[in-house]
Amino acid sequence: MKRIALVLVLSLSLGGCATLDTIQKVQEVANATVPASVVIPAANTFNIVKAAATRYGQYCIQQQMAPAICSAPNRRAVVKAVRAGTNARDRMTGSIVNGTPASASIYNLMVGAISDLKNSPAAASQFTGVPLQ
Amino acid sequence: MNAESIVGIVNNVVDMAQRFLPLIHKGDTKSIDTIIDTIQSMAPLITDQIGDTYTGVKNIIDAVGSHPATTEDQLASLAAFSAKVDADWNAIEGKLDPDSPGNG
Repeated sequence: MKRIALVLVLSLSLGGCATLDTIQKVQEVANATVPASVVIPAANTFNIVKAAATRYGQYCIQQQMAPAICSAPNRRAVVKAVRAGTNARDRMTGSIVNGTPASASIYNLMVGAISDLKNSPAAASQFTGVPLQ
Repeated sequence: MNAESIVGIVNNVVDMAQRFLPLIHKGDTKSIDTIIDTIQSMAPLITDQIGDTYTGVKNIIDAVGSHPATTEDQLASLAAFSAKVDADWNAIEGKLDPDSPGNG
């Protein structure tokens, strides 16, 4: 058990770079379907940026929406991207679980949501824990 | 201490452990256990500060690396991660959304 934990923690030293690389490498695809080996890392990447969006939301609520990054347009963009990405993620992972091909068009929606969140205030390092940009 | 500083310190310690590991004899389990205990003692810092990022890093490495985890394992891990992330988001979405009733 300890060795498993060590492997996981050692992975973190590579993980800082791996996360950044993976997030930057999640790109749209032109194929009709995408395999699980592509969907799962992308879904995890979306979850990471969604977690950052949650911390952004908690911050804005705590600050009573006063900071400029908590403006209505900024919050609206984050909420929209999270909803779109969550919907796409659930449809993608549902396809894999059911053994049916995952649609590239849905995958690209998830990638678009990741991109939108990366370009939003939610991607600030104070919310992600590590710099994404 | 901010999250980035903690990540930096953790990475330095892990890097140091990696440098020592090749120097330790295979049979020297005591030294290995000492290093593991040191690393494990830092786990609360990791999970408190960058818990979601850490989980994602682990999952990504599992998926793209040579980890022997099966796809079923990865999906189960993803499902658990998604459930946590979704619950956290759902708890704040209504208050954050400027278009929700009452948030005008």
